[in-house]
Amino acid sequence: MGIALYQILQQVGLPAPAMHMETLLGSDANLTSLICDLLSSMRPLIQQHNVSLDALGNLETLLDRIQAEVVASNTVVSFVPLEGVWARKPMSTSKRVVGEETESVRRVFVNGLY
Amino acid sequence: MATIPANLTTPNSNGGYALGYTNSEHERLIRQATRIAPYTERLFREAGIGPGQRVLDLGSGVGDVSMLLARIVGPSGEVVGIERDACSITRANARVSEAGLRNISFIEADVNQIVSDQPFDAAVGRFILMLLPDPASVLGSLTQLVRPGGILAFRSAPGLLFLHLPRGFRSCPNFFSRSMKHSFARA
Repeated sequence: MGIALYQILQQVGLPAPAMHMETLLGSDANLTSLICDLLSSMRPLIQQHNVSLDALGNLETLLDRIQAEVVASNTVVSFVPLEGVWARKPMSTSKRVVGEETESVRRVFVNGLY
Repeated sequence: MATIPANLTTPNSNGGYALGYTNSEHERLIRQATRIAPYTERLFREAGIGPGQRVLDLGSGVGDVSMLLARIVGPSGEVVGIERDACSITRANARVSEAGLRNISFIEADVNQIVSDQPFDAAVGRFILMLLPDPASVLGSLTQLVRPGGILAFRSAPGLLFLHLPRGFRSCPNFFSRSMKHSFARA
C-alpha cells in the first residue's frame, strides 16, 4: 500500500501515524523460496488477469535458478518489504464522517506505491 | 456495542482471501509467518501492545499473528481473531491448542461484520489492508471498536518494486509488482 497509509489513517480520524519499513535480506534458500512460493500462490490470479509469465522462464526451476545465481554471485535476495504503521486513537475525537472522505482516500490508495 | 456497518467492503469481489484457502496456501502462510514473526512482534511492541491488553486481530487466518499477540499480552490479556474462512479457523484452533495457549478465540465473520460488547485496547492486522478494496472504510469502522487511547497497528507491503534479486533476475521485480497490482487491485 505504500505511504498511502500515512494519509489513510489521518483521514479516518487518527493522528499522523508512526511508520517504518524494513526488508529481510539473506542468501539462504528458505528466503528465496518465500518469493517463489508467493508467486505460486498468485499464479491462478495472474493467469486470470492475463499477465504473462514468460519472462520468468520455467517456473518449476525458478527457485533453483535464482538460488544458483545467489550462490554464484555471493549475494543476497530480499523478501517483500515490510511496512509498519501505528497510531493511537485520540482520547477525545472530533466527529468525522468517514463516508464523505472515502473517494479522496480511494484516490490516495490508487495513486500509492502499491 | 460497536458494530462495523454491513455496507462496507469485503476482502475481494469473490468475498474471500485473494490467494485462496487451500492447504498449500496455509502452509505457505505459516512458513512466511515464521520468517517474519520477529519483525511483526517488534512492530506490535513498539506500538505499545503489552501484557493484559485485549487485542483484535483482523484477518487472523491460520492464527500466526494471534498466537504471537497471545504471548505478548500474556495470560491476563486476550486476543480475538476475526476470520471469514471456517477451515482456516479450524486449523488455527488446532494450532492454538497444540501451543497450549488459552487466551485466544476466533470469530468467523467478515471484516465488515465485527461485533464486540467491550472495546479493544488494540486492533492489528498483517497483510490484510492491502487486500481490501476499500481499506479506509474498514479502518475507519475498526477504529470505532478500539477504546480512546487504544492502538491501531498494521503490517503491510508497499509493493514488490523494491524486491532485490541477483543479476539475471532483476527484471523480475517489475514483473512481480505488475502481477501483484493486477491480482489484488482487481480481485
